[in-house]
Amino acid sequence: MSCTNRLPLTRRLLGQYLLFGCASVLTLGTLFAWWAGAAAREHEVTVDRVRGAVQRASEALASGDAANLQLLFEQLGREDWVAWCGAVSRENCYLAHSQPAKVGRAAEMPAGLVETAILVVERLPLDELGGHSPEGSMVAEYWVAMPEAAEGPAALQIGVAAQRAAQPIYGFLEGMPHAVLAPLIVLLAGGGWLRKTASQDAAIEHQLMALAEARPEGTLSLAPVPQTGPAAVGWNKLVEANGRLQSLNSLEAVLSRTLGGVREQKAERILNSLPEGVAFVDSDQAVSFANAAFCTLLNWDADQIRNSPITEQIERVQALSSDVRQQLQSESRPVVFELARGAMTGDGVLRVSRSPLLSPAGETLGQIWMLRDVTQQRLADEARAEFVNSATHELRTPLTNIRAYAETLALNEIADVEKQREFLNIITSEAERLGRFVDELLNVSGMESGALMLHRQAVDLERLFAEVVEKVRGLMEQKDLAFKVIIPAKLPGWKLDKEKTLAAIVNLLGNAVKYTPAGGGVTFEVVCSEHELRVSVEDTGIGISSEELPKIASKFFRSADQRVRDIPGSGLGLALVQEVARLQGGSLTVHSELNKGSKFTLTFPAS
Amino acid sequence: VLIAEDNAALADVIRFNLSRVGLAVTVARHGQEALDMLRASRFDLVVTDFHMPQLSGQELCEQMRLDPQLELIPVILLSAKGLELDAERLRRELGVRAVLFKPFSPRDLARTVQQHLAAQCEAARL
Repeated sequence: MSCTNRLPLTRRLLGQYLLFGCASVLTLGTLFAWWAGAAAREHEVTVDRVRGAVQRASEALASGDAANLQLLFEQLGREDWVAWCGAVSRENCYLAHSQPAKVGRAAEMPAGLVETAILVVERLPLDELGGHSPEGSMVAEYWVAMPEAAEGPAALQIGVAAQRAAQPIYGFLEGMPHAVLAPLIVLLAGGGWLRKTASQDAAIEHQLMALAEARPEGTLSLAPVPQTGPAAVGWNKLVEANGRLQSLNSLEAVLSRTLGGVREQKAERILNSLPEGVAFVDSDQAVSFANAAFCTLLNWDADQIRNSPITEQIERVQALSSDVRQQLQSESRPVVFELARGAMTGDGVLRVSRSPLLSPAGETLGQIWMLRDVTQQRLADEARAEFVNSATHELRTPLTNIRAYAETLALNEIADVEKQREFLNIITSEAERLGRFVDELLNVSGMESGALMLHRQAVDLERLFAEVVEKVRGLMEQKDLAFKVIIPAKLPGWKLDKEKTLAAIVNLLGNAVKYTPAGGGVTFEVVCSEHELRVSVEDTGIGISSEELPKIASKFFRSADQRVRDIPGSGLGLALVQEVARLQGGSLTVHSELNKGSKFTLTFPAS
Repeated sequence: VLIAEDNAALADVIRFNLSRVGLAVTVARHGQEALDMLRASRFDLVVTDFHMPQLSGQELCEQMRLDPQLELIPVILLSAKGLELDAERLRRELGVRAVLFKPFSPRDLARTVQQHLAAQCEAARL
């Protein structure tokens, strides 16, 4: 329902006021006119009757009988339209009267009485004694002058009962323009006053109408009006209350914005402290948020990435394959792929996953991109695969020999006993090799699960190192390596797990033999102080590159160096050595230079 | 017959077994040595390990295929790798006649060697 086409309240009220005012003035005028017309008609009738009475009185006078005159007036006085009547002499005394007591008394003849004209005078009604009584309605007294020449009364007086005062009506009719004008002026003055009082209500109504038209979620803007009445005071109080409410609302809005900001900041801090890279990409593929890890993983500046297309940024790491591109086309589908920083796994591998961000209604708002550095994982996977590879090789090689020799022995008639023994020895040593490998595997898996227990007891170091040297001397000679042993003459007892420590040192020396070309040198040195036992193995071998140095003690790790690849190995040896040192409170340190040689040092603290 | 095998014990037992069936056997300790020997003197067949230092079995086969003199010599591959090695692909790409997976039976090897030598003689006669 629309209210806008209505007139303003002031005009409406004024219009209604003037309409009713004019109507009442018109009704009043009409009533007066009708009443005046009726009074005029009655006056005519009365004048006719008065003339008739005058005629009769003239006739009675003409007969010269004064008694007749008195009789006539008494008779006339009894007529129902007459209140009283009398004849007045030239000496202004009543010659005859409808009340006999009045005869001979002075009359009140009005001045200016002219012959044949009728003069009407308003009089108070007469009482019983002929005096004027203040009670009762006014009586119109008709005065008629008699002819001069005639004998008898000078004038006749007839009071007409129930006669409407014709004379004031005539006066009123004459003043009629004033009578209409005056109320009109009053009416207009009233209108002015009305307009003034209505204008404040109009201001209120105007605002209320605007309010009715306004949308429900819009804010209420109300203005105070001049305080000219209780309605205005009430309205202003309402405006004030609304203002307070509005300011509370806006305060609440500011607070919720601030709180929202705080919450957002907190969420951002959480995202920034994640090790995984997280970025939000809006529907036009531009980055609208990326956490610190995301920027770091892609070597971006935080400013650089905002609003830039994400695929462009990602392709700076590695060009995307057409397959991945195709998958990325569908915005609502989760996509997972990997990015390689370089040709080698060690250069870095990033796992990228993209999933759509859906609104509660299910429409795609954008995408969440996540980055994870899976280099270590990939390296471990590769090392594991490599381990499986070399483990199979390590297991199959002795197995192949065992089978080949056993079958050869079984299927061929070999008369030569020496040959038979040689074959059987080979089978035995291959079986031993197999056994050693299985032991190593079990040790590693034991370390992994924490089940590897060391049994530390006082060990005679001199005997221990003698045993070590004994074990490796043969290998050194086989490969024609210069083996230098520096062991102090006197060594104290030391609390160690003898077997594991022995295995660890032999392992280090075995490595030195394996990775030192024929003709090189290996130095085995033992230094012992009160607090520390230091065992070092130094070689002039192929060395280890600085990139690979931190990884060499990782389980299953084997160097990418072809010279290492050509030598079988499980990648478990150094892991085992390190674990043995660690479990005894010691450590393994390595210094190495590629193509120059390596120095492995085992340290065991005094318990 | 030339045997290229880095594992001395295995090379010995292969030589023993092949000698028993009447074949003249030479042993090379790695791929490069085998290639040098192949170029130096004539061999009817090569038994090679897959995993060898200096020149692997695969590289040896590739080198032989590039050399018109050695191209037609049949090669039998010994591999410690199991199922992960695609024997069919090796036959196709490297011209390997047969692949034996370790641990293999020396008798099977001798039989395979004899089969391929016979086939080679047949081909030479034609």
